[in-house]
Amino acid sequence: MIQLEAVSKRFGDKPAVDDVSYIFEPGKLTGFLGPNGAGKSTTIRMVMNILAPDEGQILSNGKPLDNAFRNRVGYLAEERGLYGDMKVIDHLVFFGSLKDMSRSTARKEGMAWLERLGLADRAQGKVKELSKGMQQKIQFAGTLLHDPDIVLMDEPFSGLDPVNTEALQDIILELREQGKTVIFSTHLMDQAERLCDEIALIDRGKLVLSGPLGEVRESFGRGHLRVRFTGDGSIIRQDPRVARFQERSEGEVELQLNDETDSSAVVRDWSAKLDLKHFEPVKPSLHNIFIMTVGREIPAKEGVGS
Amino acid sequence: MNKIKAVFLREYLERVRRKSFVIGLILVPIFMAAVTLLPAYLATREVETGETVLIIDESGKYKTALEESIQSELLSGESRFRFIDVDPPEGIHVSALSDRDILDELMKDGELDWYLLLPASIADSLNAEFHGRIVSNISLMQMLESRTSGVLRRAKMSDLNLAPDLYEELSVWVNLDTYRHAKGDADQAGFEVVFFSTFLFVMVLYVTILSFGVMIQRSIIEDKTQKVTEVVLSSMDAGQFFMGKILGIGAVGLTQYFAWGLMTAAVALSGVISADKMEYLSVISPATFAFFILFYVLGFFLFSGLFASVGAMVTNDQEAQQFTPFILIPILLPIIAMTFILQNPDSGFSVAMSIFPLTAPLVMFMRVNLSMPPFWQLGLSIGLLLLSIWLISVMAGRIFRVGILMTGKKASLAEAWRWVKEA
Repeated sequence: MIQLEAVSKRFGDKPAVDDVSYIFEPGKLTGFLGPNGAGKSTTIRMVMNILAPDEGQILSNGKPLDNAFRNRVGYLAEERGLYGDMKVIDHLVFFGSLKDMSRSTARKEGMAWLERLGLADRAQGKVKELSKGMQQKIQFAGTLLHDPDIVLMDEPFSGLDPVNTEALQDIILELREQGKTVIFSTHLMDQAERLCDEIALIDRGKLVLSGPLGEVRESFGRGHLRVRFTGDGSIIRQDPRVARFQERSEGEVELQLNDETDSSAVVRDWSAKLDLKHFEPVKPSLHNIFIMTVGREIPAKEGVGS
Repeated sequence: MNKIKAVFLREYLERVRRKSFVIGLILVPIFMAAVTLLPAYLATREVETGETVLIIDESGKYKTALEESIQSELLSGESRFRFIDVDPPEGIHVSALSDRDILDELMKDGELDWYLLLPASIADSLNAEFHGRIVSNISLMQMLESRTSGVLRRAKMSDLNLAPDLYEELSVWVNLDTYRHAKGDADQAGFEVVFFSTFLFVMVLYVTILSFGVMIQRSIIEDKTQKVTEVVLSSMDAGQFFMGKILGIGAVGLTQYFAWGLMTAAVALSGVISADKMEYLSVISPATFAFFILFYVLGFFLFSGLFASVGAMVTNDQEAQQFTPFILIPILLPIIAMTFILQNPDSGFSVAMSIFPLTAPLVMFMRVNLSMPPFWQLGLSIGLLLLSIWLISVMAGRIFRVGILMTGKKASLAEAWRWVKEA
């Protein structure tokens, strides 16, 4: 269990992470979501003890982060790289020995992972001779080699083809089965929706939404409507009973009403002023929840489609 | 500790296993040997081709004696000089410029290599002229000067009615044997031997401190561009990483020295080098070698901290070049001042430079090798070096901690100073 208690971090005058409190629990897969520059990587770096928080503290099972904690963590950084000139197996031994594994154990586990990822024949080759996807698998192996209890992955699937994405997703789900604390950040909402038990959404340094995925969707589902119409949409947009509003296409909107608002009364009011064609209560997608919470689209990353 | 070892082993093994390391291990001694031995060998080598020369003696008193005096044999057994005569038939009068033109023609056509002009007034003016296509052959000039002087001296003696035997009697030359006094013991050490062995060691010290410092700098920049640092820093702190890296690269340097030491010993024992050349090796006492290693280690740690700081502040080699001159100046200064220090190892300037930490590694090593300085100076120098190494490591560690995660842009000196203060 990792506990963030009122954690803040500033770079110069700019707050990067602002008063974030959250608990990551074992056996759960948590999606750490947010647009670029929201403070995801800074938060992850603080959890990894690479950066120290300016205020607040981070605890692991109630204790400050120490060397033993570092050995129990597996970290796949977003800024990932490998020493190109090293032999693949030597690189894995290096990763293992950074976690206080003996060199011989690290070699054995490294070979086992290469076996599993179908790269055993590349063990003696140089890292730089591997394709990008293969290098990413090596990084994956390096992250999990020492059998960590806590796994943190920053954008683990970016740049992977569908086959490899599938294979690595299976491994991540397996880690959850084993009761490990798994946290991964992503900007791909459909992926988060498929995999996560919990989500934590961060925007402009603040934790704006968090909880079990089902509950989050449930809470957004109440009073969540999809409406099709012809006429002037500003009547809907400017209605004070509408809490969040998103235009999906010409004449189609998704919106959320304030709590305690009776949807049938609203519909009656609007149909008097507009030609209301269609109207249904919907369970919003994570994508829509994201946009309605953050108030803008997620900027797509280069080379990554969803 | 294990983690420092992991980084140490990676840095060390990856470098030592490289082909370029092994090649350097073999090529550098060959290069050093070539640079030191080849010029000496070439300068003393006998001339292999004969020369066609002319001695114009206006007084007519010296020509024959001088020709006999300078003549020698080539390796092939032929005479070195072929003396030509352009006398009466052609009617050479060297005082007339038009006649000199004839000689210039001959030289241009390759029929004459040089001519020596002894004017009529030579006995009083003591001036002669050498004309040749090549005037840079120092050993030929020296030989001609001394032989001509000798011929003149004998002629003057006979003018004074002195017995010719007296010439040999009066030609005396005093030779200085040099003894170096260190800690009360005197050992015989030729001047050149001390001078050149010190020179050689200092150059090796200079080149290795510089190249391994730059190696550290580049290795840090490489880690930043290859984006490996973040994963490493999630497993250990920046100080440990820094330590492992510096120790690993420093050990590569030590490995190189010991390998060269062994190679030198092997060559010496195999008897390939003749006994007189061995004199150069005999001054490299175990103490010299120990001081060499000591000052290499101190100098390496001092400058590696500075180079590492620069590496952490910048994002590529070009940016690093803006900062490196500040580090290079204190390394270069002792090299520039070396001739002075070698001649005046105990002057105030030399003592000051051997105590000032940034120049101390090179200068104190020079002084120790030339004449052992008082113990307090040696102690103060090493003490200040250790203190500076500590200060620079703390500073470099702080710059490293922040800078290593910055991949976007380079830091200014002001920013780096803020990192040092705020850490």
